[in-house]
Amino acid sequence: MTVTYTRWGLLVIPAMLALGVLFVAPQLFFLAQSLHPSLGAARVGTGWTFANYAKIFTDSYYFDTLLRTVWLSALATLWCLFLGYPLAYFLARTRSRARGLLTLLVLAPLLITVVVRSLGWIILLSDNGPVNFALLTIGITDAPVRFIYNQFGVIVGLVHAFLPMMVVILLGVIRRIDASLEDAAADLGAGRIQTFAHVVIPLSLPGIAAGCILIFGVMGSTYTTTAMLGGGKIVTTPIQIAQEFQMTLNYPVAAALSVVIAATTFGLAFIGLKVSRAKYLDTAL
Amino acid sequence: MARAIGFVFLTMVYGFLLAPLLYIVFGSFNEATLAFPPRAWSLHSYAAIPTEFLDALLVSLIVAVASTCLATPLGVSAALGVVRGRFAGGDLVNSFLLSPLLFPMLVLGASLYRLYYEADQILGTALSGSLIGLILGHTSFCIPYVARSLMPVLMQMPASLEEAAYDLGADRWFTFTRVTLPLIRTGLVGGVAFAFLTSFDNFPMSLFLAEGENATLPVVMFQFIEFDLTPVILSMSTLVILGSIAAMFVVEKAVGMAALLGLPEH
Repeated sequence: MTVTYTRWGLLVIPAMLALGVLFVAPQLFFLAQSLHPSLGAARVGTGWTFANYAKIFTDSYYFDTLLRTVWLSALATLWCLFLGYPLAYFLARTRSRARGLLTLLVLAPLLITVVVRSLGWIILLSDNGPVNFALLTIGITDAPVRFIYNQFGVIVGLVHAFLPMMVVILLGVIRRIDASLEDAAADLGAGRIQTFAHVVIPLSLPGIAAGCILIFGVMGSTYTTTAMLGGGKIVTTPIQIAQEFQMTLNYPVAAALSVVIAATTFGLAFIGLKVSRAKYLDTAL
Repeated sequence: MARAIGFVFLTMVYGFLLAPLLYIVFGSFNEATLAFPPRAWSLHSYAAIPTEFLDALLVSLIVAVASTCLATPLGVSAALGVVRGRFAGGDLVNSFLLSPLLFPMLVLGASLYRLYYEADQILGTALSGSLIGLILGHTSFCIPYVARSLMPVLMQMPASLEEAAYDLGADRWFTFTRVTLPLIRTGLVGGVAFAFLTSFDNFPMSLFLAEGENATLPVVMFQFIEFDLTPVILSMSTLVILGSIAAMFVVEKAVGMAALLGLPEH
């Protein structure tokens, strides 16, 4: 008996149906909502309009927030790259017996809920936390430094949340570079830093770009870290979406903001994932 | 010189990655205050964990188990269909199945929240704020986690092994349970573990779907941190950290974290 391959394809149907109802349907519903006029709190009109999108891109209340989201994500992505690249390179090339454990230590935070991870930063950086205690004791400042509930705190939280993902992506990129090229550079008299700058980094540039696009896209849709470490003072578009739902109840605008954010994240993540050939992605932050 | 700079840099990066987690564990033994330096050491904050945390922990576990149980057969079946079935548009179906992983969880939660409300109005269902609604929401992102972990394992497994079983007279079910399943076990364990943990950790979707007595642990902890930051939050967080690390070691033993994240082995 030969296996009839075509019929195996039918096995995708149950999952497709489930995702159709739980994933596609709500998005289509949101898309429709974003094209309806708002009639005040929690009331949605029946006509069709692009007014909600026009509002997002012309009303500075929404547009400035969008720009802030882009700016914070870009900044945090660059920090992830700066901290993550050397770490990924080390993990890819080290012959240490502890490599497995050291890799695991980088990945460990990924499995811990981001609520707890952000909490760690809140208590570390608070006015009466250990960092300010150290600064006050040494005498660098007279009054506690505000590290959280501002842009600095949000960047720290974002970098911490996404660094493991950046390292995972870059590890995949660097491992595909033939290590013998580095040996060749060394044999020809290049120092470690020269080899790094002239061989390793140029070869990993496409992977770096893809990784950054991916991380930047996903960061732009992050809610939890920004909410906790921004303490309501730093408002990004995801925060604004939640506010529209919880306070102003302007559902059509909330839906339009969601469509913009989702389309951007989805598009950038799709491109980044295809180019970097990364398999791991965490939009759950 | 380059070595020394590298060592210092890497130590600092590891410090950055682990400091907030280690400090939570450290602080959980600090009595009565979150301030540094600690005044007295005790297990007081463990004894004082409020029952609302434990109730929420139970909800989180129920939701994670239920959504993983719903997602696993769907994910396994979808992975088999995509890998074994040779049909036009297979790549497209594959991309579609994995697309919830690229989607902002906040938007997924918000849109389901609105759709549930509409469905309740029009169809007379009772999904808004219900445990079922929450579980179904989590199922949507658990399906791709299970499917994605299985696909590489299935691709490596030659279909000829299944054909051999058929040739020897085994029926489809027997072949699946005795040949396919044992061979894809590692991918399955990894996918199930990852789906479970992702559900357990989820905050942005639960923010919209988990209300009142159905609030999950991350939601209750988030609210607690916002309104009443006291040391009991650290003891609960420490338990969450320890549980997550234990789960990670289970995954590491079964499949390897690196493999699960799509990293090639050396």
